[in-house]
Amino acid sequence: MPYLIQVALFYLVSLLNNLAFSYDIPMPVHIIFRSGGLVISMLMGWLLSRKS
Amino acid sequence: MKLSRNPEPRYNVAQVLSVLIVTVGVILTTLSSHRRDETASASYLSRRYLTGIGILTLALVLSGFLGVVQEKTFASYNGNSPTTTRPKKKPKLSGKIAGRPDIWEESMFYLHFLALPLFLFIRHDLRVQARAVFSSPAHTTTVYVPLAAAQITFPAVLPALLANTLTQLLCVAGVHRLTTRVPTLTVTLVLVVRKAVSLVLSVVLFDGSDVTWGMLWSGAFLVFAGTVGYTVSGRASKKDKRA
Repeated sequence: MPYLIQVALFYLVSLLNNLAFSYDIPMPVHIIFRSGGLVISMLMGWLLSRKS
Repeated sequence: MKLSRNPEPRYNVAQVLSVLIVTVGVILTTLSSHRRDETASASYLSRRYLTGIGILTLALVLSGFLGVVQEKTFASYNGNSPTTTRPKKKPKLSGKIAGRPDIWEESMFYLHFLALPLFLFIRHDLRVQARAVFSSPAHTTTVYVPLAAAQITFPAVLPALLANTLTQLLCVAGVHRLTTRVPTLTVTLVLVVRKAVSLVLSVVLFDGSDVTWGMLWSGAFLVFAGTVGYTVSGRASKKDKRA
């Protein structure tokens, strides 16, 4: 079942995003920070393509 | 993890530049918030704030991972898309894209449905939250049904919670519907606009947080501009490669 990894990751991401609110993260910073996913996905793609 | 489809470097200069812009924007935004009220150290970022940022970073990394896994799954499904199970989807779009809405829907369903049992792990937390909701100040309103009026009492935050859930649903469904209809560039643009609007709204309505607004806005601008720039240049390069 290829979905199991996805489910676990999705769950963790959602939980962590909610958890961050209990650490005094202002809402605007939260919104902008999450928009930074582009950076991570590029790093990921770079790392993976380099490994192969 | 084997993802050896494109061995050659996949990013062009403009894309790398855009991502750098986004990075700067995120850093700027992160630094824009200091906690002035605590102790004497005004310019220091508190330990608590750093922990929160760490958590957000971890979430970001994991979601990047999720994206990779999803991409891989979709790639492996792309050949034999399960269109046979749902033949009533409109076949207006050309072959490869026509299979996608089904995959998206399937993915969304499994992602949310299979995650439900996992909430058992945090049931205590949920109980505390539920109690907080129901112990919030009660609110009484009169409902007018034809021929009668009834008074109902409910926690004051319940309408907000319901509205939140409902709009979330509309948003997610809308985004996925959009992905199947229009090019990625348009989707990205719409999402950026959506984020900008929600940012402005949250600033205007809840102007209570300790942030340096100039830094925050320039950071936000850099992030959004970088995202758009990345998408535009990505499309251009793809077109180049194809021609």
